[in-house]
Amino acid sequence: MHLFIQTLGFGVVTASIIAIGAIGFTVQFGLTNVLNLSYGSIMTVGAFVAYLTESVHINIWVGVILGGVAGAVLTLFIGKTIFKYYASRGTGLFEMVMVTLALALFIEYAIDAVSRDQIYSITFPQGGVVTMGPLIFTVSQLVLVGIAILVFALVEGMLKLTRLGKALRAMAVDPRLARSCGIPTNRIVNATWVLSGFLCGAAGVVYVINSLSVSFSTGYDFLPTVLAAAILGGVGSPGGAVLASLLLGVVTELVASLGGSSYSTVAAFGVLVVVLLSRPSGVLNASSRKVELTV
Amino acid sequence: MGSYSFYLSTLLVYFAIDLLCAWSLNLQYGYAGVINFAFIVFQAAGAYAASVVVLGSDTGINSYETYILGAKVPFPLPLVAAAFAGAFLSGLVGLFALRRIRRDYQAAVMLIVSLILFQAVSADTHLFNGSNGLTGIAHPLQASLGVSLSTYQWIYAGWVSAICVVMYFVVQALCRSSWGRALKAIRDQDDAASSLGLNGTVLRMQVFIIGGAIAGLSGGLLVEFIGAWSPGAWGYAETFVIFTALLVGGVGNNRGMLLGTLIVPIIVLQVPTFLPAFGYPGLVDAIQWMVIGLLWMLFLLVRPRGLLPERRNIATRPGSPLPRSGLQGLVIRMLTLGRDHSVTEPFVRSPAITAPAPSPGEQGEASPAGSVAVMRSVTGSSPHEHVNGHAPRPDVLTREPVMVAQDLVVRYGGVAAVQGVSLQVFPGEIVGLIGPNGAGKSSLLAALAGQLRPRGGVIRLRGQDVTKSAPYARARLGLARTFQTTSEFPAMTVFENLLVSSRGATGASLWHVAGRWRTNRAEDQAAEARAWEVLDRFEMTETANAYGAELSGGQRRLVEIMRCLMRDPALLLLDEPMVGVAPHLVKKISSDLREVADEGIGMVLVEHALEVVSTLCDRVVVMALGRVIAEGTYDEVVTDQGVRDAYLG
Repeated sequence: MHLFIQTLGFGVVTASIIAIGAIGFTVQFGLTNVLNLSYGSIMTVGAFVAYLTESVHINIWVGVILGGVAGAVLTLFIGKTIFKYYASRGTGLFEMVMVTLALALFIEYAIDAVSRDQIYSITFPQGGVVTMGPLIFTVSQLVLVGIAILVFALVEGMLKLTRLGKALRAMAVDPRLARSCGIPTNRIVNATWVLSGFLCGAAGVVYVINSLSVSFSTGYDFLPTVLAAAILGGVGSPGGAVLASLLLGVVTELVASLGGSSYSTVAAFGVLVVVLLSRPSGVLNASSRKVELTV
Repeated sequence: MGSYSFYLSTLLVYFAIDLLCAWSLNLQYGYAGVINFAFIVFQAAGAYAASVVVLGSDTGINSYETYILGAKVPFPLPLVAAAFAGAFLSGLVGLFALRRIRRDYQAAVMLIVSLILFQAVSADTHLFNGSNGLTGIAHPLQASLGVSLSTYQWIYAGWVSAICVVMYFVVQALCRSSWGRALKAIRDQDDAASSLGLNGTVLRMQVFIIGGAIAGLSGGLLVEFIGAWSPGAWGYAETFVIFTALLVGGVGNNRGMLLGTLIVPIIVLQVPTFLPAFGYPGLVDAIQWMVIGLLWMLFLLVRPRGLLPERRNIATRPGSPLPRSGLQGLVIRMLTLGRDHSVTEPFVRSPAITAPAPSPGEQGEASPAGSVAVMRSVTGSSPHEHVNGHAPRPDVLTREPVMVAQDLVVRYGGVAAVQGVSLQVFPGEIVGLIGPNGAGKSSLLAALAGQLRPRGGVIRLRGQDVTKSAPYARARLGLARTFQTTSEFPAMTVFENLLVSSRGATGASLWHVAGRWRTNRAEDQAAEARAWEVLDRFEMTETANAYGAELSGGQRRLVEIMRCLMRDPALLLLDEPMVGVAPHLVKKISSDLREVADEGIGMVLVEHALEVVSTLCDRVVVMALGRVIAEGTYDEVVTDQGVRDAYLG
């Protein structure tokens, strides 16, 4: 029983890491309809920013902000130049995925070239140990959970309570109608790139804070789980992304604790597969309504 | 020269194997539109399968590697095992990954599958020795042939090339067959394909498994050449090398694959090995991948269909003396009617695509012997003429309803779009369905067609209960429909659009294709003859070789209707067929529909254009807010007070 509760605890930590990336992805995908597979490479960029801040002895938590900023700037640039250009040339939904994939290859291997194909390790003080009943955490793990909760609260609050959030939700449902209602769609899209890019970079930092090693493929080790959480939770729904992250996080830790640590991520995807099999008309139905790119 | 010979034979082997992969992926993605981002996994399955049946069990001399199974099977059976492994894994993956979902989601799902399997195999050493992989797979027959290594490589290259040549003919035959056509149909418009009797799920599964078998075979050939296999050889990025070859060479074009495979895996990936090594080890690899990424982006922007795009399949009339090949032949075929056997027939435009015929009662051209006579009065003054050669169906005589719907309920979440609607359609009658927006007309039609599952009620088609049947099953029972937005297959010619709709054994069946060379030839020819007949009837013969996307709105609608007729349906559902059609064409299509109904086909017509409803429909049903509020002839319904309040104003 103890073990089970501890596993749940670790699951929450893992979930927090996934959730930050998943919230960013789901907001971006929900609005723009670009299934952006280069999200992983931006996470890697964030991870390297963490490494760099740590190597010049800046506090790693500041690195979270710096990584986020790097992610935001990069994503905004990619969105306004590359995605916008392809969309203006009439690229379809799926062709756009191919574009993001090609971009992902390019960025990932550019990072590989620059980082000399090495794995870098991060060390920083983990803080003391906190005991809550049968649960044992390090301070930095608790901070991670705290960050995730904060991010969720801020994003949900923004979506539900601010005008920007309302405009975002309107655009996600019907971009043409939103445009003709006077919503400044360009600015909203830019805001989305910035927000989701920030979360993406921050997610990369948060991931290596937990895993303590960085390489050019870090983002791509992590992206499938983030993708799974975003799709499972329903695209465009941060709350759903959080719930899905919790599910995936707990399943991952559960499988690891039962002795199959090498299978833990496989188990997480198994969850996705089970959902796909049991809810064929669920989140992934081929809706007859024409879905458009909004970049 | 010795080392060059070695290098060239190696290159040839890789070229041939990559070609197999390209053709396989072309079948799946180019023809059927399945986004197989997990392709490399099926090659890996084949490689692993071939390895374990060659290495023997993993105790004894091979005990430094751990893996499942293990046998010592003689050549060429490991290749059979490889193909089977690829096919089997494809079947498993296809069960959940081939559902009808948004294409970008499908891409993500396939990618995730690729990553899962990669991680599972790398992590678990019991399966296939984990990330170290398997080694020591001997070259088949090398010992017994007793030749030098470099000679053996050339022999192996010859062996793989021979397989390639055979595979080329197999793949071409598949692509040119009715099965291949059906794949293109489900790729372009899955809903329309279902409404024509094609079972998209089964077809996608078939192409996925066949592609998987070829991928597995390629893996077996590769591992028997290299002698070792580990996860490093099948990372998810390898799939993209093949995709890039497809993109560059030409999606949907098997000859283009030769070009694409030459350019991408061979030139782009092999040439850098000649460069002097610079930077740190691995820098050249990294730059290669960056180049692949850039190539992708460039081609997606500039030539998304590749260097050699899919070829247009030109259809010619049997017995026509016109030149069939070359540009001149192409031009002549597209300009002449082809209906007539003389070569010098001047180019005559069909009335369908020009201004309306000036004189009333004008007849169409008298046709020479051998073609179906087409006589039609353009103004529709006697709209109920029979057309020669199309006898009324037996159903008309018995007056059994073609379709009976009772108490249908259709809900979208909490909203009831259709609440307890009952409808009967008799053969030969045209039932109009009118009503304000939101009345539930399209929902009712969708429920009748099988696109929507009703929450309550029963639908019977020709006496059979089809309430729970899929659209393709209803199509096979005699239902046909058109869609609100025209659903012609844009990347197929009009002739192909018609052929893919043909009924009976010439429908898209893999078994039919296998038996093609003997008994089914006659059926294929009958289908083609019928297609020419239908084209003549609607005066669309000279558009036979135009792509669906090249047609005007009215022509597209005609193609939809022609497709439905190819199936000899008992019931035709039309969803606002006159939307976007010019007024003179509306008249023509109306009279065509009247003729079709007179042959005994029942119709349900949803329309807002009330002039059409008044001239065409025998009976009108008025819906509002999900219920039927009036039923009767047009005149009766138009004077009903309830209808006036709800709709006519």
